[in-house]
Amino acid sequence: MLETSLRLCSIKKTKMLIEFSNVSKRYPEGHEALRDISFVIEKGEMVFLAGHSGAGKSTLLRLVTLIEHATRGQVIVNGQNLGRLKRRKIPYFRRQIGMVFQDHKLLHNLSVFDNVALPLIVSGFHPRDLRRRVHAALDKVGLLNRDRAKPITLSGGEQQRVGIARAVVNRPSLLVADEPTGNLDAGLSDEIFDLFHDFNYHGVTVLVATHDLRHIERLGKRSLTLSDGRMVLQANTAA
Amino acid sequence: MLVWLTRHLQTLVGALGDLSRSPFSSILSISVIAIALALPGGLFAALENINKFTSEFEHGAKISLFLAPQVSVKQATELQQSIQQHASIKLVELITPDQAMEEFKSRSGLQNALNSLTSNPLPVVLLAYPKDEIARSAEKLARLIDELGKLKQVELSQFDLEWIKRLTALLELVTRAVWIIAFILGLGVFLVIGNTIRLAITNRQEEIRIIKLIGGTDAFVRRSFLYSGMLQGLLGGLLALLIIFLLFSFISAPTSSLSSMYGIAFSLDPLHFLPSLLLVSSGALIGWLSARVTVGVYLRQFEPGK
Ligand SMILES: Nc1ncnc2c1ncn2[C@@H]1O[C@H](COP(=O)(O)OP(=O)(O)O)[C@@H](O)[C@H]1O
Ligand SMILES: [Mg+2]
Repeated sequence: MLETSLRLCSIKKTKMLIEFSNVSKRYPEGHEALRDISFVIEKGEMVFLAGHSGAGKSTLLRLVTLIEHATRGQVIVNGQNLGRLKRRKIPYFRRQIGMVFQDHKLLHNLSVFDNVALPLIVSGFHPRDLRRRVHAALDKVGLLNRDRAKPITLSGGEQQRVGIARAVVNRPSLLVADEPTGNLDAGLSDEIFDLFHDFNYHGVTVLVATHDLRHIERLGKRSLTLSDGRMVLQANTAA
Repeated sequence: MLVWLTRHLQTLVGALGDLSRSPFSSILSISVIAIALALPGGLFAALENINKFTSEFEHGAKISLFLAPQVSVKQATELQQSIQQHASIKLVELITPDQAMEEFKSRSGLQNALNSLTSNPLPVVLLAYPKDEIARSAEKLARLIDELGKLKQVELSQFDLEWIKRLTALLELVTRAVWIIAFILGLGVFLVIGNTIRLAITNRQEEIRIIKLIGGTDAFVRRSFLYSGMLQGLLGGLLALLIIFLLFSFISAPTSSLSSMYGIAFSLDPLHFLPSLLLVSSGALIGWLSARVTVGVYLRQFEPGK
């Protein structure tokens, strides 16, 4: 009996991808952006992060991707305690995560192809397989024919899809997106969220911050809601 | 290996591209670097030429060894042969008392007075010509004169070109001064390149941030800046060589005609291959080091916030 519960416990542990325990974040300016946050996201889940503007969504994602360190509490991602991660290990940690940003963060002096290839290049991927991988990622977001274009010549929705291709080209186990459709109209937003849904269907854990409740209802996934830095609701809207 | 090589080549080409993207400021900073490198480089080349010029005299540098009166010509010949074996000696000539007397008579105008002497009071004299590398160093020369003077058959050893010794000592001082200038200007080059790298980092802040977000290591980010710093130093060094070469060819013709008026066959040498290589590679090395330090300092701002 004890043995089985122990085994269950260890299985449960390996299934955990993100774990926040009593996490707070205070910016150097003194503003407390997150207060005493605790939650767990398991492997293969798709989770929405909701809340008003300024609620702390971006801050939470910055802690997950180690753009910021937590002030208090413990953040564990992919089995790694981020508070203890050595500085020079950070790049290797980030390669396990695909990141999508509201403002795309594309390099405008590079072509679409090179932008998507960048995560492979920085991780020393063999050039022989690079082309195939980049094309596969571009194909998935429907932009295979625009690989030579400069990002600036693409529409906002297309640029965001380039950003998504770049985020998944490394085949990360976790995809993190911060208001990826903030600047897009409803139709384009739906396409982007459907893409995330599809990646999740194929086994990628997805964590998306959005203040657009429509998508949460439409896709019927779990959501975490922040308000003024506190977790106010952990809801499962699974249909 | 091939992957590694192509990646470095790509970065190098990329760094070239960066330089050509802002041609005006690149040319400006490369020119400043070139001038800073050309000054000590040119001074070293000038020193080389002065050394070459004085060594024209040093070829004639000789140590006169006046032997003790009881030493016979036969013993002196043996001594001549043994000194000839000395590692620092090029050639030893022997002047017998008779030869010396003849010369003395013809030169001094005391012919009649000397003719009345019944015996020849002059000793045997050995003229020892040191090898060039010895003659060039005041210290080694002094040691050699001292060593030869200590031989028991030698009563007095004397070196004629005292002023060469002084000049050599002065040149040593000047050489050190030029090293100090070289060091200070090298530091200047370091700072100039550091500043362009700092500007480049500021201009490419967003790019660096993105590269770090998608898992680029510090080494990856650093690489293109290291190449850019190295390239600036390298191009500055090449331009410095060109400046030195032009300056030298500008004053080469008057120098030759001036020295030919004094009956000396002397022509200016520009920097030789090895010093040229040294100049260019120290430019590249300073550039690399400067970029390394600057990037090290400025990459800290991209660390996770506490
Ligand atoms: N870099 C920062 N420095 C200081 N305060 C910040 C910083 N980023 C965000 N904040 C503050 O933290 C709070 C949460 O911000 P954020 O996480 O961006 O919220 P959201 O993404 O939900 O709009 C806000 O009050 C914001 O002003
Ligand atoms: Mg935000």
